[in-house]
Amino acid sequence: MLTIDGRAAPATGSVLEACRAVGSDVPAFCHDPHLTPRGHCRSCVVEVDGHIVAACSTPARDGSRVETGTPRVRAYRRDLGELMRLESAPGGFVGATLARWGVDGQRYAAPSVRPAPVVDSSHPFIHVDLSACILCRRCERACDEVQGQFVFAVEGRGAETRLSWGGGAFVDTDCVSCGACLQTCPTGAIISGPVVAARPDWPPSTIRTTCGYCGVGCALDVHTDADRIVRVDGGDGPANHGHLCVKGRFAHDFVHHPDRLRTPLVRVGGQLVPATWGHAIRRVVDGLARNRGHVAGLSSSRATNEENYLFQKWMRAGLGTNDVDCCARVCHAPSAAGMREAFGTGAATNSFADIEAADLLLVVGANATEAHPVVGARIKQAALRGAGASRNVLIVIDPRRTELAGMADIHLQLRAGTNVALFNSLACVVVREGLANADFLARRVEGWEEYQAFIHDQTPERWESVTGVPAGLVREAARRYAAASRPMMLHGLGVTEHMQGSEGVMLLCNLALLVGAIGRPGVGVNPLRGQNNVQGAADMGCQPDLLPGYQRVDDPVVRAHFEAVWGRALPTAPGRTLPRMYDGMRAGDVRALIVFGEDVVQTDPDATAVRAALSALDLLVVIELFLSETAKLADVVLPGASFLEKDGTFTNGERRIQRVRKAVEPVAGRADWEVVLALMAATGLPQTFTHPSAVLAEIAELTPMLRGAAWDRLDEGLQWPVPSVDHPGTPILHTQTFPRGRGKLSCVAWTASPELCGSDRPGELQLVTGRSLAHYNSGSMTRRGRNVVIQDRDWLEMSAADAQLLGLVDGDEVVVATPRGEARAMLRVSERVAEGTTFLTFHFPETGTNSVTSDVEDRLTGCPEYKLSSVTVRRG
Amino acid sequence: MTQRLLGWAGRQAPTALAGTALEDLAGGVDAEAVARRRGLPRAAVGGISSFYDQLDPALRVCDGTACHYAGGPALAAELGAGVVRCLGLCHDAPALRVGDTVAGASDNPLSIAGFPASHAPARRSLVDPPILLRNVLGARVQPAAEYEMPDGDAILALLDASGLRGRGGAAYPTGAKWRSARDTPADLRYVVVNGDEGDPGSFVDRVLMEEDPHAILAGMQACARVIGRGASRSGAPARVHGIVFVRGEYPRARATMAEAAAEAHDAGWLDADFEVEVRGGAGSYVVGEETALLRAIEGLRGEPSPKPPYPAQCGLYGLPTVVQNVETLAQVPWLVRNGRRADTKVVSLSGAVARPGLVEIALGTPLSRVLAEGGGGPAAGRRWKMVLIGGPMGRVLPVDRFDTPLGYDTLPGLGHAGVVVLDDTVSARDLALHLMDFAAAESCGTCTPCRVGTGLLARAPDRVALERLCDTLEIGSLCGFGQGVPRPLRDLLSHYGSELYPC
Repeated sequence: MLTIDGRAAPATGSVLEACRAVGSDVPAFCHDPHLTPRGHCRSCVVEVDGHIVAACSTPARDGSRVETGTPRVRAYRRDLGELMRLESAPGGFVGATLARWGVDGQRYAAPSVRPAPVVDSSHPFIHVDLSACILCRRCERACDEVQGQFVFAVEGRGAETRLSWGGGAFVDTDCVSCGACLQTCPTGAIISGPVVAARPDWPPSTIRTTCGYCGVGCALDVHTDADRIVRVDGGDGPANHGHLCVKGRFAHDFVHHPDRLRTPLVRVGGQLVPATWGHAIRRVVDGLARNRGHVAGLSSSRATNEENYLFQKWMRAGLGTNDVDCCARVCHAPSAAGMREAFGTGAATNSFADIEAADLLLVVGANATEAHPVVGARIKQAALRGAGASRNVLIVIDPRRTELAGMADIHLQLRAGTNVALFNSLACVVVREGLANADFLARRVEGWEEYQAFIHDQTPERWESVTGVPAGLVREAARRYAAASRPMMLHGLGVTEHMQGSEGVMLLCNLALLVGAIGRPGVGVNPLRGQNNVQGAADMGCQPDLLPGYQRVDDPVVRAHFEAVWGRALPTAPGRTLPRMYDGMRAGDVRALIVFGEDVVQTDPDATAVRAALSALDLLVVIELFLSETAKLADVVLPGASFLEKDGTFTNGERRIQRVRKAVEPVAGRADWEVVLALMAATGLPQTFTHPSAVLAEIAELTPMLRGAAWDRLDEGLQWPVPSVDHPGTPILHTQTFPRGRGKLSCVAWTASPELCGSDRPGELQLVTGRSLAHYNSGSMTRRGRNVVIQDRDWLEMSAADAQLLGLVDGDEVVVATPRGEARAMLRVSERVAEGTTFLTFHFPETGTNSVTSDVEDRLTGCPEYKLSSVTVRRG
Repeated sequence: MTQRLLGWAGRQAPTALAGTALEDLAGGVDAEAVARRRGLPRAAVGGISSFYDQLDPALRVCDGTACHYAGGPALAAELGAGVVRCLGLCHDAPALRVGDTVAGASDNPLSIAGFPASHAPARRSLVDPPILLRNVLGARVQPAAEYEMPDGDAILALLDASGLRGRGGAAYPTGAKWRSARDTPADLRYVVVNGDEGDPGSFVDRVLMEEDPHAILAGMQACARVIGRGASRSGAPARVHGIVFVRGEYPRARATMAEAAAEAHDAGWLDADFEVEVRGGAGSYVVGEETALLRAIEGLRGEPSPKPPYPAQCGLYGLPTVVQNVETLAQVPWLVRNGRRADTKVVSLSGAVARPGLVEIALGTPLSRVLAEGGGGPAAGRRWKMVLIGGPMGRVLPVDRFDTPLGYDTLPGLGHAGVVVLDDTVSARDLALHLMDFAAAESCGTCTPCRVGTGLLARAPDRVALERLCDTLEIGSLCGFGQGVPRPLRDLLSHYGSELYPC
């Protein structure tokens, strides 16, 4: 213990931290607990046992006596403030503090020649005004140590020292618009657009919630004023530690965008016309009655856990069908299936915090710095730490030279569609070079004998001509993975969205099992879930074969339990997956479809076929924020509420159940859970719930893995399984045993996708689809805001060699064609793709990206092969 | 700029390269090319190039204290040249520099092309035999003999028993520092020689590096043997790498250190697994501060950082690093051979003395004796007024205080013990302005009090204002530079207050 102005404080960390722990408001302008203390501003000076020290960089020592406001310290602070005012006019927290100290800027005469003020407002979100800068350099450190972008530096020396971004307009820097700089800036020198951060009464109201973009699950502090969102800061959540990305921080203009649906719409004479809620719901009820026995439902990550739960309860208990699925089908269903096969649980084995614990990161088919930017930044930071022999290892497997691939120690740039061949080659090296963990295999793994025989001839040399990756590089990667003490694997849709998606996941599990990289810190197999609550949608039973908590619908014991609580008989056979629903629509077996928060026309593959299937329906109901491509086909459109307009929980990619809190009132007056409850009541399944918390209680009752997930415990950041109310949650799975007993080694050989065979034909190229940084999936939220200043259309990436061959140049309008259809985009000649490969995003409906993708799907789960189409490209 | 930046650069650079961004810039590579080849962001390279003020080889005249009072500013004006702050030729003032060529006044500086190498300063010893000057004065030890030493544990025991403290200014026990680096697990550790002798008026390190490099290298080897016994992180044998950092103003010292390191390596004097390389600075006084020095070695802006963490635990590239002053390391081989420390100090004499040069003295010797016996009394026709001792963060002693014994306890601020003797033509106000000008010109800008405060010193209207600025600098500054700037100013205020502020 030590004393601070007479109050006892724990002697841990720095003197400043000790002061903060007892609520002492020692100023520390350049201090941010997430950043390395650099002692720039010198405002935190205190006396420790009579000696003057800077509190931020002095360790708190047992028994010392700290005085924070002696006359000497006060006189010093006042003079320091005068020096600060001499070189700048800080606003924000610093400005307010200096004013409180009585600093008036009159003590010293200003230099005769002051530099011209530098103001830069070239960037859509990040504006810089150096006249307010006190050179605390929090922006520089945040950019270096949180994001890893190195946009800021200081130039000059002594009195000439200035913050710099290398000259030119700020928008032309390598800035990725994460906004870490403006969040930490204490002076208002870096601000977000027109927001005046220095107002003392600002912001009037702040809500802590969970981001609704990707599956990282960042904590958001949403500041509102008169029911409008005025600013979003990163909250100190377990997934993000205060950090955010261009989407989570800035893409909230959509909430009150004029395009928002504010009333239900019903189709009258071929036109969608506004209707009352009552009328619209009656239309739904009538349509469902007309088509009883032929109804299917599709939920999504946009819905909270409670909404997903209610939705599948409605489908099963109210409408009597297991034909319920969610968007996990088109992204990580193969991860769930493959990992369930190998381990018994189909979710990430570890937590994001393990990224910092690992000494090797193997990133497979995931462009994390764009699709999961905050985890991407954590991976980047992990790769930047250490020096020389203690440097962490980064291995990336990806057909594209993504940002992470560009900084990797080893990049295995395989041809799309050859994952299985490459994963087997890696495992073959581990086994045949004697690098496997014999002890782990003996204790915890089954199928070793058979596997050894299978893997023996899967050598990198054998598969080199298929994967295109030099065998020597594969061998080196395998050796380094096996040699690491804590090798952690993170994979994305580049693994799952393939014909052998689930099998690819099993082979990644094989690798982890072979080296014993399961069940401890810093290891594991970790799917990076792409959408805010796609984990939760699957957890909640929006799957045709599984009830909440991955309990099988065809298990009579399980069903009896649900029937007892729900009070209805439940259908016994697993229902249709999404692709089978489309088959059913074409065949006339599925005649009514309810789509909750998903734009399947824009985002499901082979859009022409999807459109045709939906057109065959008698009733299409869509719950949506905007009139999406799918909603345009609907018979009834019910306005949805975004994550900023409703209460509930989301479950992130590390199985963490987090609160979602309403920041503004629902634009159309109703939260989605209220809409689903209304539909349930109207179709004869009235519920007594009046708040999502009551729904969660029922979920907990019915779901062993969530039994301890009580509403009032959610701020603990629980990770499932949470089997009881006194259980702390499970950051790391499989520490002692696997749910299936032993881990299973799978023997799966590579098979060529029909689309891969196509791309071997002359003139045809491989097309991979995916996301870019500034936009999110269908783009419905990110296109309706300033993110379009960063990117206003989809780009087709192509290698210079291919472009030359096709006579195309950067910026050309191009048409991407398959027998199924055509997409239009702007060409970007790029070093990120190898010869023979192209890449296209799908954020803008006018592009029609999914008009060209194929109906090839994962053999086990039906997940589409978005990551491989054989295409031709011509000038548009 | 942080270790992360180096991590980033290391992952961006097309191939691993020797040297650093700073050395590229000093070698004339343009900023764009440096950014490309080093994998550094453009803004970072701009930050580096704008930090050092001696990157280009243009003609510069020395404005160190001795040269300042020997006509340096007038010569600079006459030649239209810029200034450099101390070339370590204070005994032969004013001095000049063009690229890697430096020359003192006796070398006829006005005929710039092909001017001869500077003449060596006089040297003598008031202790017999000389210890620190053992190889530059009198009977030399054979270079090979300097490298003869026992194993690391024995060396550390000798160091501890001797009570040796560093000569860089902080007077930290050398044995404790080496032990700390040894006990921090790492696969690689560094021993760094701080050859950034920036104090105007001090040139002992320059002479030792130019004339006795093997004593320094042998001192590094002793350190390597001690810290090399520490545990590694990975289980592989731990290594030690040696770096001699020589300031850009000492091109000859840099060359002799590099030659000697190669010679010692080839001759097998250095342990086989111990490599020593030499890196150079490019004009920044603050880089003499040890954490700033490490950044300069990494090729970044030479900005100091708060301690802890201390370099012994987290230093160069984030690894355990022992940073030692030249004089400290040069003493170590002698200490190891003799089993005791040398309580001597080499004083650099310049200014109004008859015989400017180096003098080795026993600590505690009165300044008056050093000036009389070492410096030969006043130069012809000059009347002593005061000395500046220990450079721009040192002390000012008026002539009536010349009986002060020179020791770290008796004269805090003694520092490198560069003594510039000033005669009665120098006003105290002019010396104060010279020191203030130096402070403003060399402040690195990292912390607010020093960045803003040093520029205000010369404009302080009265004694009260100056004292308040001095308080703020002392209390607030991040490193010893800003904290030390007030020290000679306070001496001037107390001895010559009315000269500074007449009314």
